[in-house]
Amino acid sequence: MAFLLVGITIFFALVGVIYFSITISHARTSAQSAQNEEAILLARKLAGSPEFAFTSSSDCATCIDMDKIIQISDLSGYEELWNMDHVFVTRISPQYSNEKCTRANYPNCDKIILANRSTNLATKTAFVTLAGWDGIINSYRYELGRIEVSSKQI
Amino acid sequence: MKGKKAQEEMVGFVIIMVVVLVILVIILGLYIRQSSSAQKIDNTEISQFLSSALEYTTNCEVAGSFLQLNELTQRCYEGKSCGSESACDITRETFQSLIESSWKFSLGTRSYKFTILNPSGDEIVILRSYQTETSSSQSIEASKLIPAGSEDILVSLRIS
Repeated sequence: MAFLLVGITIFFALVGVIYFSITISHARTSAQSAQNEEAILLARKLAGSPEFAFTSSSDCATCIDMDKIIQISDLSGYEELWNMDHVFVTRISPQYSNEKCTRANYPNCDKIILANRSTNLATKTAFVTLAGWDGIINSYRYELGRIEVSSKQI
Repeated sequence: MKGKKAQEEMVGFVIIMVVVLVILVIILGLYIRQSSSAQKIDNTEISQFLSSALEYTTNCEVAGSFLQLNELTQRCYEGKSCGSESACDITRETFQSLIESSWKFSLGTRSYKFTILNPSGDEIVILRSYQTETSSSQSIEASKLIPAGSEDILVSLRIS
């Protein structure tokens, strides 16, 4: 009988261990996924701020005004405002060159750097629409881009 | 007497085994159900990609203005052309270029399937990275609706 009781205890302990390992692994995945979603939403929230938002035409809520952010990319005060260690806006398509944008080479460049403090924090990204005036088509052109941020907040 | 007691213990042991197995099956069932329901939720990254891609300015010029990808998709659904090319061909090429610029795909590791369905559920545009999708069980997907008259066109992307 004592042998049987020991057997029962071991079995229930095993079941408990299996159940908790499954629950913990599920919770860890959910937490990681929630953290990623939060980072993406933070990047999108940043894209919606007045310094980034495209308000010149249409009702594009997810658009970033490239013409506006190239103007503020040289101003260091904005790094403090956003409290971010790393803020890059990168054009995905069409690609011109992988150069850092300056007022001199804009718009024939693909990356606008708004904050770039040395950090080893993971970078989170979100897709955005980049809008800017195109003199060739005499209208606003919408392109596909990505905003990359990293901060201790995320 | 001693043999009968041993038999009783064995029966008890088997009953416990069965109970434990039933509990395990129930837990596993609940876990699998939770996972499959979670997969049905639109993935934020892909959803954002589709929203941004649909705003993209294409090379299709109609009446002096360049159409956005959502307008071009509507034009494809209506069976119209864009200059000498079919609107569906330009839609397909543009989406392919945007998807393949945004993620890296290689045979056996990551693949995608992109579809545009008309309101009756027929595929009007279909794109795949490879003929056979990768065997990875982890796939993420999202869809967007584009209004076309009183009905909607469904644009979906799945990455596995």
